[in-house]
Amino acid sequence: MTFREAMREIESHALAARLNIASDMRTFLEAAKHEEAVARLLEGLDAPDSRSAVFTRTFELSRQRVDLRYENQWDTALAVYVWVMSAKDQGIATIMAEAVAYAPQCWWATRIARDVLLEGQARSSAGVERHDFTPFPSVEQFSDAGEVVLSAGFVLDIREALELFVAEHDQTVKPDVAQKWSMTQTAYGVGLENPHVETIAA
Amino acid sequence: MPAAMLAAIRIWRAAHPGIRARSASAIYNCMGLVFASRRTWIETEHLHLILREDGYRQFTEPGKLSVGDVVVYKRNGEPSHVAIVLDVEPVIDFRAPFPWVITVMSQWGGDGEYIHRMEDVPQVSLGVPVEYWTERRVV
Repeated sequence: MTFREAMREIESHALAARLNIASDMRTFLEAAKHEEAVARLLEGLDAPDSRSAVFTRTFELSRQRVDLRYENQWDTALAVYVWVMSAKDQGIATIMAEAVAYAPQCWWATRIARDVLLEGQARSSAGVERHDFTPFPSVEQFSDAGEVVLSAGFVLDIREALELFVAEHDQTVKPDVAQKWSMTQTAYGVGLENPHVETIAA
Repeated sequence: MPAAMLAAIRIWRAAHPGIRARSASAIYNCMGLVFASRRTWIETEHLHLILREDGYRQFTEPGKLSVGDVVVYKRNGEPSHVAIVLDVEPVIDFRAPFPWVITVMSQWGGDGEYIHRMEDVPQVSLGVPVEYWTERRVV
């Protein structure tokens, strides 16, 4: 099975059905571990091009329009991508998780993204143990309208991570993906001047 | 209905011809069906806390199952699935290893809700039926 075939299989309805039947996260992850395509994906992520392909695809899938009456059909694929990437590169996985956390109608992907983001908080370089773990660690407050206000510090960490990623994979990251990412952050209320659109597009 | 959900129903019907798809929703899991009126997902790790706090009592004889009772499935010794009993029919053949046909209703993760024989589930993910619980005042 090639890496591309593994990605196709991970995004297939058949694999989604096999993983989606789990009633809890433990069963979901165990089932995923036993999938050949997942093992192939993990193995293939040693190559920078493969990491870039999964990174880009995750952003594409997380922004797909979905039928709000049903589960996001990419839920399991997004969950697998973030989970497997977190085993290889926590920095990239954190960027992916930030995008996936806002993908609509997801269950598995949202929970794995949350875990990856929490893990990032736990590894804070400040060396200070945090005790205020919330479901969304980057959320500082909710407005009366339910709008989420993100922690500027957290977003800066993400920004730095994205810049590092882009610097390493300049030839392989699509500018429009990075631009969409920046727009997503703005749409969710980051409220910071974000130089990424120009920097990355250039 | 999304293609992914249709595909899931088709796949499980092919693997378990005796099942009947009742509803195609991923808003709730098996625990949410049994304990939360199909409103949400509840982790199976909370199962025994809920059973205890809601006054359920366990019994060992599947023959004592009645409509509305709860069947708990386990995998590797841990709760992995729950179902609600719909029907208990005795089997007339006394040589049968299990002298009842127990029909249950359960939600298979995010793959939809099914009516099926108690033991007719994908065991790799959902496990096998091992515990029987009721909230009836008299068993």
